[in-house]
Amino acid sequence: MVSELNGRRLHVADLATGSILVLLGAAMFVASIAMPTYADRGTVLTAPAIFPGFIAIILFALGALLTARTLRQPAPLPTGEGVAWRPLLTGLALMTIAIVLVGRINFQLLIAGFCVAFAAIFVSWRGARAEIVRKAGAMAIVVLVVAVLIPMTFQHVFLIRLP
Amino acid sequence: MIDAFLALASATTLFNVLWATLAGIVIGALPGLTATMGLALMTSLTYAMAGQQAILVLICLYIGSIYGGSRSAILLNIPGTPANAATALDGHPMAQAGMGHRALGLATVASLTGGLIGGVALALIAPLLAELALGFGSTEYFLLGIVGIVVAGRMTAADDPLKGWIAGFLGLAIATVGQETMHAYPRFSYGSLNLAAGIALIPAMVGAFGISELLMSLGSGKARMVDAPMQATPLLSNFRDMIRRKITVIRSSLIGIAIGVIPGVGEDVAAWISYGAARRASKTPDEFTKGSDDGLIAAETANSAALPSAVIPALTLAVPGSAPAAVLLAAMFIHNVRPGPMIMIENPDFVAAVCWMVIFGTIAMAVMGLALSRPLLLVLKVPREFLTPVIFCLCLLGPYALTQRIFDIYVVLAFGLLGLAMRLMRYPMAPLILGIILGGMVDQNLRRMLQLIDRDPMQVFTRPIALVLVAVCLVAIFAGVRRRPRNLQVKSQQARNQ
Repeated sequence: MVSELNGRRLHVADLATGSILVLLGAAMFVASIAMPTYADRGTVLTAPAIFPGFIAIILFALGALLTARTLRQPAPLPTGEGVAWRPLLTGLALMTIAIVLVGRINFQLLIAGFCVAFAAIFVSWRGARAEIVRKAGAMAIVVLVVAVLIPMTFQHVFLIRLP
Repeated sequence: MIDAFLALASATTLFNVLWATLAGIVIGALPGLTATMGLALMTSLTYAMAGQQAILVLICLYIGSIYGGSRSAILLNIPGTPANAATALDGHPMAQAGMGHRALGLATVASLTGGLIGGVALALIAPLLAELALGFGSTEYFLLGIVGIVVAGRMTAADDPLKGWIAGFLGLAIATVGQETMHAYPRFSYGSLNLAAGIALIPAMVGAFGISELLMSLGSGKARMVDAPMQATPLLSNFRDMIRRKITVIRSSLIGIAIGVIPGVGEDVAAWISYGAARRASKTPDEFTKGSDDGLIAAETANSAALPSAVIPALTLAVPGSAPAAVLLAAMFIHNVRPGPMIMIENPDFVAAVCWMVIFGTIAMAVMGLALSRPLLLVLKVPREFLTPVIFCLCLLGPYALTQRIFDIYVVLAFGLLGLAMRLMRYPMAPLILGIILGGMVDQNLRRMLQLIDRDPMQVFTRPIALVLVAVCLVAIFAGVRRRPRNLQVKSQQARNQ
């Protein structure tokens, strides 16, 4: 299983997250101030900026707390397994490409291509010939399900136009 | 209640209960497919169904998936859903000792008992809470939203509440995107019509729970099922074991009900708290994590009792008690049901129908869990590599089907990335989703409250319910500052890594 970050990496990630939240809170607050107050409609207490401004202050404070806490504590020693970056990033890249291409090429073709690429990378094709044939057969069924059966169900049963 | 039963009793209902519960058990049993993800995907598939039948399907799927997760927890030592993490601690050692059949039977009977007690609690508490909520004004609703975020953040990130609170308030920040309701001003939309329409809940949930879950499960290799021979156990002996541990069952059910009602907390926290309470109360605490009946019963009873209980605030306050209940809430809006304090006045039959749906689903879960015990083992043998493309395809088409906007598919990706980053950095996901759901309510009621109190904050303290909510919020913050040891969670993580 792709594990969580730990040790020094989590420490650095917490520091980065804390800083990003401080910046996000500050940016959100500035953007809130720039919003119209609609004072001419009777009161400024219903201005659209009130809620985002309130959340911005809390996010800023929570980010500052996380940053200060991380800076105060030493980085802990790594525990357990690290993150299996290779399968995670490969899977992420495949999914991102597929999503970016949605609407640009035929959906069924796209999803069939995703299946083939996914199988080529993540399914182990080593072993006895019979085993490989069995896996290829299973993958063919998966392609049939995701590229034909599921889209056709959405298209003809739920009357959804495919992207 | 009888009218609701008669209105619901039909062949269609029976058919929907059976297939949806079975689908839930399969989804829950497959590691990497959670109840929330299953519900989010199923919501789009029930779009064309009649309202009550659609909610019935979703509730049965919810019940089935929380129960189904116990199978992989016991036999693979991988909890099928987060709600079954505590189940693995004692269920898996039992399976390793050749008592897998007994562990599955005990988990089924415990889930049945917890589910039925939770269903009765739903019927009793929902009208009372709805009546209490009729007295809520803007101040109470605003504070309820904030209390929900603070308590959910505290309870879902027991080892680091700061991260739970960050997740919750980040959810509220995301909810500010789009046109606000008082002046129709498009906040943070930068001229984009898609952003002005706001971030829809279903794509956000499919991304946060679906895509990130798929990515986290990559590279996990093939899970190994226990190879110890399973000795068959008579069904009656499971019931006898449960009766012998009636105190554990009652305590766990009450804990499940109490935790389930708390906004955004959910079944997993209920199972952990119940497990901890059972260990503290046990005369033989050393047996826990080594195959204790009490441990297994405590975890499964509590998570099943928390499930109907999590529906109570969703129905009566429009505030979900858990992440899957949040999807259920969204589905209710899609199917023209208006949850909230007025539901007992406008649509009292619906609340009674939901109680029956929970009872039907729980009974179907137990019957199928026991009758299909062996065929369901085959589900655990399906390789993850073959399932991922199918789930990915549903993650794209499901949210798209609701609005037919390509933008929602990009939202799925964005929330998949956010969810992945949050999981890697140990942030809980439930407060984030709760924040997105509650954002609109908190926003509107904050501004209404400010108008009503007209710059005099002391007016808040003249309202008793508001005072209670402020006190709960302060206690949650104070309790969060004092950290709790995470022995049980660490132990569970170690068990999963083995």
